[in-house]
Amino acid sequence: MKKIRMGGGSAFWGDMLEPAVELVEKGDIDYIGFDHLAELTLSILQRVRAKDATKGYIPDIIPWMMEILPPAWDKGCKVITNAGGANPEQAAEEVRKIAKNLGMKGMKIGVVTGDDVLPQLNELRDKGMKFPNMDTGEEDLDRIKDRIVAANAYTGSDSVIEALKEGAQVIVAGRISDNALYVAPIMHEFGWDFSKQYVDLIASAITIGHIIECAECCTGGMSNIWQAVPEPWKIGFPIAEFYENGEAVITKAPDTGGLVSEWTIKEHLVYEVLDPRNYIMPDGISDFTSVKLEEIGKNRVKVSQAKGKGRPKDLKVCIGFRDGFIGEAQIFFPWPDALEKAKRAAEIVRRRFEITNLRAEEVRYDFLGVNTILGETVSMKDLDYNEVGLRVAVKAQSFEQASKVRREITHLWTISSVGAHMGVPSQPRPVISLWPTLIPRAEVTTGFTMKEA
Amino acid sequence: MLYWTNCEDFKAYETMIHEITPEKIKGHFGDMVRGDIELYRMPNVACLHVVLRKALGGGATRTLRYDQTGKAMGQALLRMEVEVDDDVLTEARQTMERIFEKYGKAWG
Repeated sequence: MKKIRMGGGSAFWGDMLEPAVELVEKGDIDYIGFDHLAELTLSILQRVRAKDATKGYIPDIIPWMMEILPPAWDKGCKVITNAGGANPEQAAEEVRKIAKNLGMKGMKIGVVTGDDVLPQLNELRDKGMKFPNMDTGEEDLDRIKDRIVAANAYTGSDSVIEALKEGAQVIVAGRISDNALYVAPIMHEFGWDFSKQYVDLIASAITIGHIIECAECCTGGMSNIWQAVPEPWKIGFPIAEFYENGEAVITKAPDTGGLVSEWTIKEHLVYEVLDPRNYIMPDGISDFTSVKLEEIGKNRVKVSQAKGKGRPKDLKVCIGFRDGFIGEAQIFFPWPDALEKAKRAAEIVRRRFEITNLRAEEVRYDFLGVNTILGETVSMKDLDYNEVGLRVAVKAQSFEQASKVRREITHLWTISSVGAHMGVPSQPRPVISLWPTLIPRAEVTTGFTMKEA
Repeated sequence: MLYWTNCEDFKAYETMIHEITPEKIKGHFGDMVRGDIELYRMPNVACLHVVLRKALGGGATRTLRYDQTGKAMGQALLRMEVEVDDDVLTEARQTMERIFEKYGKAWG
């Protein structure tokens, strides 16, 4: 039976390069996907582009492609990435230059665009669309309209498939969904379209894309059974062997660390999922409660029986808007009575904020090593801690107000208790808040152009 | 949002789906969770999938929480106390032992 092998090459902007190169060199893969975009990333990249029109893509694409293209060209492995970010055209141009310099004459690079709906947002609002916030239920984005920095639709496989049909060996896109990085090559290779007969098969593709799109997260990098995961420093990125009947096997490159087991795949099946009966992607909807997982060998897990529904009529849009600043700082207190020292320091900061008239929307106090990540689920009994940190975080509309936390934590050095010590305090950071909403599919038109090295 | 997979034995799964309720989870997390709690049964993989709405302090990019994406909340849920029969507990312990027997313990 016909099959294709795809590698998951990146979970986020900042992920490791070496395991991705290893996948191409040793993984016997036909395609490799690179996801570099999280919810916030497009807003960061739009700001960069606003300052310099030749930027706005993920800068890692340059060092990445210099290492990935030679083995990919050699082995005939196609590369699909969303590293184009807010400027896919320029990112693809950089890739073309790299390919040319490395002597890959004739390499075809597809540029997929159309996800950026910022230019038509006002026009659509004039047509009466209010873009209600899916998280908060707020009905109209009018309140934030002057602070919007980015609005990108999560687009599907359509234009990627078209570019592959035209012979693209590398595809540089903006905000295509992470999932489409993998659904597109599957649909292209098996000649599927979005008609009814392929709905369950596309659901299988969506399920597999979901499992491998966070790369090492499904090969033991984020597991409850972490103690059973060998050599994470040389972790293998995942490979999906996908068969024409919709069945797939998840594995990883040979001689690598990490673990592919029924457990690690199960954990990732439910990762970043709302209703598992309706996992909604631009290319379709998959029902994860129908999926069957079987460990069929060492580091091999078979995934089958996904059931699906057709494409949703709306696409998700992530709108980013400027929303003030966050300042945070921390300081540590030693035994004896470390927690009591830290609690008293928190009270000092609270009082100092009153005296200096802090104007903040929110202030948060955490005791590091006690309740920082487990929050209200933790008992605050005064155990005999070796050391406890105090972290104070402030959200304010102005940089100056958010900076006050840094000053007041510094003062704890001299007005709290003996032995207190802090690291290097950092500057407040600008906040981009997100407004997730929906847009009718018909309002988003994707397309592609082709470059040649 | 969070996920929770902690069960291979069907008996433990049955216990889990009956003992774990939105009310209990709400009590466990207190103010950390402001919205609804949704539970989804996934018998195909013996999972109870837990979704916590309005549980990130306003969303990952603007929250003041150190754990901006709520990655630790699944672990926090493991500390919630539930009533189980001794044989279920024994089975759950045996499952963990079997896992480490099968894959080996690379650490600890």
